Amino acid sequence: MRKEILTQYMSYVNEHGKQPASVFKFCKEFEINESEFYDEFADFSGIESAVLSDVWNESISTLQVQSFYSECSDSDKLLSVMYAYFESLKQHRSFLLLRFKDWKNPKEKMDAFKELKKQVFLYLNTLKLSETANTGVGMVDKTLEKGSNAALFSNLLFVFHYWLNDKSKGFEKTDALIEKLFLLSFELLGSKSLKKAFDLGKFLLADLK
Amino acid sequence: MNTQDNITSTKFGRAAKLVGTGAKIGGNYLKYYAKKSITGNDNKDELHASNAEDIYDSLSNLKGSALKVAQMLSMDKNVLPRAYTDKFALSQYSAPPMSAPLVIKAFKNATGKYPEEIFDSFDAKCLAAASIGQVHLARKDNKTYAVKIQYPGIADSIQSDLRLVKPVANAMFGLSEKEMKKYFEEVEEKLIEETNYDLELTRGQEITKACAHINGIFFPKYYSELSYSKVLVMDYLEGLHLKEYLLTNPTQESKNKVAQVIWDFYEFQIHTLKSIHADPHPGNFLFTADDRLGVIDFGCIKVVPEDFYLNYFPLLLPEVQENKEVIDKLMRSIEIVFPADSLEVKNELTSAFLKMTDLLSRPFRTEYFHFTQSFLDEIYQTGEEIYRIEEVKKPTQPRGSKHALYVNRTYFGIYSMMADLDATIHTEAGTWRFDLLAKHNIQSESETILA
Repeated sequence: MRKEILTQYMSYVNEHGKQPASVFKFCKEFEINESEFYDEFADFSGIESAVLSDVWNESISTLQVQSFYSECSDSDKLLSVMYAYFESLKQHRSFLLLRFKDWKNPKEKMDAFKELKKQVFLYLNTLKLSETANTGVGMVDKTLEKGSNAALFSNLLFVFHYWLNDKSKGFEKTDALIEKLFLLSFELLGSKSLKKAFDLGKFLLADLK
Repeated sequence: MNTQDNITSTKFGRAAKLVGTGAKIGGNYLKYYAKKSITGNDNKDELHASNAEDIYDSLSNLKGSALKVAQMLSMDKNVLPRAYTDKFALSQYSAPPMSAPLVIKAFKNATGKYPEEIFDSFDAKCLAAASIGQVHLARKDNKTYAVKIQYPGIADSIQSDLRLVKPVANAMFGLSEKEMKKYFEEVEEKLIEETNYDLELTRGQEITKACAHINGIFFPKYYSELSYSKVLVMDYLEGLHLKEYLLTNPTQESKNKVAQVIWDFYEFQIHTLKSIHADPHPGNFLFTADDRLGVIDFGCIKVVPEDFYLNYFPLLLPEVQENKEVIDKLMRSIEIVFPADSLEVKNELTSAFLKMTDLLSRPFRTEYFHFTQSFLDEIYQTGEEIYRIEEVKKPTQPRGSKHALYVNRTYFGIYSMMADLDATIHTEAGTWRFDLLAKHNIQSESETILA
């Protein structure tokens, strides 16, 4: 049912260029039982959020069966997922353009990214990308880990925005951006500067006491 | 990656400076975006200006003798286009290799399949950087292939990068964009051709077929059924790059033998095919222990127009160099001298040009020639002298045919390799000499003697 509602909703938006007037009207038109709708989603923005996060999870499961993916490093894993993700998003591009084209302020539509963010964080926690762990202070480790996850997720948002406006053939430029942006991030996360910054902070804080 | 870097570090290493420029330009972009996000002010002009400044700085550092000579060979002011070609060739060497996931993605985009679906095994780690892509090893049915994969989006960025450097070029030579246009078009055309793997495939197949008879040479076979417009599949060739080869301490006899192969290969291309492999940098040549030479990468091919050929190459012949009437005619047709020039300028340019060609054509006048480092130094020195001429330093108009750009670059590359090999080889001008003399109605000296 979830998949069906998703598909119907997207095709409605693509056809009409806007959201259906209400969940009631939408269900009526596609002969869906309204309670079934609410079993899956709270409202339309829940569907939009699901489009983004479902594709994410699908990308990961397609990759997991490939031999290259299971053998490569964690940073290569994340890169592979990013490429696969934007490759799969292509099939919903018209829909996403309609919904996000006028997206000037990233915060504006953050609701739609909530679920994706959750999934991305869950995925990132399975990888070991940064040196942030093991400062010896549990709370600090947690903060650093969260910080690096948030940084990587904001990379993803940045790429998403770029992709919406990308006019290159086959969105080659988006690929190039993913490559450059993430490789730089890996380097920064891998460096010990974050850890050292915290170390300095701890030292100064102790002095102040 | 490393091997390539090492090779380029000698003769072409100067361009490392350009890489530093690349970093600075990156910095300029960061500043631009930071400023934009804070002030909301979108000042692109400022960005271009600071980029131009940084490029200019590094180009001025680059004004080594080698660059000047490349320019002197035709006496035109093509340092920049030359720096252009080098910048692109070399910035590619220093570009970070594509990550394995991107390689797989680019491969899949181009072919519609994953590498493992086509090959038995595929090494996602890059073997070498090619001019606008990178090379990977793959195996299938016990055969090893070299798979060249193009960087995504490279064709677009070439054009935008060219736009970036253009204003600097104009400023450097004090020439207007319109006047520089012919050189830029030539360079741009060549660079864009390099992104066309379909073209490389056909040209590679044609040239390797035409040159297969040359003694001691071998080429990769190109596989059209496995290749796509952004993925090129060919044989993997065994052999050492020049620098590694020299480290194996080959005998002088061996070095002479391979040098002769290079020479014969280029003689045949220039005078018979009139279409040349115009990227003779050491990374494209593979030397084997049994004195054979492998040639790869047919992405940069200069087709020499008949008209240019007939007016340019006679200048290498002593009979022509002595014939003032013919020289005057040729200097005009290759656009070194213009009818509007004063007699003084005309004479100065002509004699400087002849001095240079006299030096450069030395190998063609003897049966055997020993390419030494001091011969190269002499060329550099003459180049420096010529550079002091006012009309060369600050030309009133662009001088030199655009076709000379890649032809000269090629000769410069060959001469440098020959000097590295310290080779003594058979260089006497072949039968093309008589054909060219006949075209200009000049009697050959050797014929005179025979008569």
